Amino acid sequence: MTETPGLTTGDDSELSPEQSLALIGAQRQATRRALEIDDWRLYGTWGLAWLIAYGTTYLVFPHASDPDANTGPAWLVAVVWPVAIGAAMFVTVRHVLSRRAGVLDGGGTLFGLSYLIGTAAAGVTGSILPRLIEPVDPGLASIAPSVCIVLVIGMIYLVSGAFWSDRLQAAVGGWLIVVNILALLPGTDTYSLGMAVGGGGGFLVAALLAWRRDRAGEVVADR
Amino acid sequence: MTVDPTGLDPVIHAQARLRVVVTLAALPNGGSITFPRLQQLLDMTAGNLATHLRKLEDARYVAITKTHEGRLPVTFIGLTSRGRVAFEDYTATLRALLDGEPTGGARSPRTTTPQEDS
Repeated sequence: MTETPGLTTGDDSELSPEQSLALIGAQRQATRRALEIDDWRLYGTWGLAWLIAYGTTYLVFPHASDPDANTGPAWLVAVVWPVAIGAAMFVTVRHVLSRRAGVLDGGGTLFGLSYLIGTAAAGVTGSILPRLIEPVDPGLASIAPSVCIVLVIGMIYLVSGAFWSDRLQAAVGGWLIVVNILALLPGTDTYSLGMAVGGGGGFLVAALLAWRRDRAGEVVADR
Repeated sequence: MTVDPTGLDPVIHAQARLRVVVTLAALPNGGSITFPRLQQLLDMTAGNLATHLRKLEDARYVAITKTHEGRLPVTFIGLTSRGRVAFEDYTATLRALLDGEPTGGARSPRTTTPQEDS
């Protein structure tokens, strides 16, 4: 509900220019709060999901190249991944649907579909590639799907951010691409650690920056 | 149509319609929103909202599209390009009034004929 000093909702009495301008600012802010997707919420959700999922993988399999040298139960990784990623997807879809309910602005559904198709295709590609060379390298086979998926996610963020002039989103995309490469450089063993810290941590930093940006935007809108 | 001495567009210069236009202007160009969601955002009764939308539609500031999603009828409302320009002019006139500048130079869609708008 928009509250503007000196006015009540539904009142059609004559507005002074000051009242009109105040009403425009208040209504803009109320509309933005109701319709806009909170980037900080989504970055934070995915940051936590990646931190937990990749972190658990590293703690259970500190040596990806030797899957038998696990330091914890392997089932933990098999459980944590779908739970963490599934929860993040649930939070994302629920938030987006609630904010964009009834809004027809074109492209939203296609964007979501292309994201799903792109990441699924990258995962399949990453699963097939290491198995083309015999004998299969277990370390490479364990990280290749993730490497391909993160590359696609980074590209989607980078291109989408550039298209919508969202510098933070573009920076997140660029960062994910860079971290994905940096995490690979020392070898397959520490890839999960690199993605937990750099990927999950990067998302969490982006969440903080997005939150500050939104707060700054609201202060400007109030003026 | 009544000409406001301040130069402010009388179609927009009413609290309820101004709130409708501001809300629709927040959508991307060409975007639209369902009637119930708009009603929820504005916290207006359906009858009141429909009345104001009719006035905005008469001025061709909003486009109302009736369609179906499955078997359910759905009404989408969006700001036309004419409405978007009118709102930009309205805010420019407001700022000029507050700055004490003459507002006669502000471009207003009220001065255009229906044939001029495509």
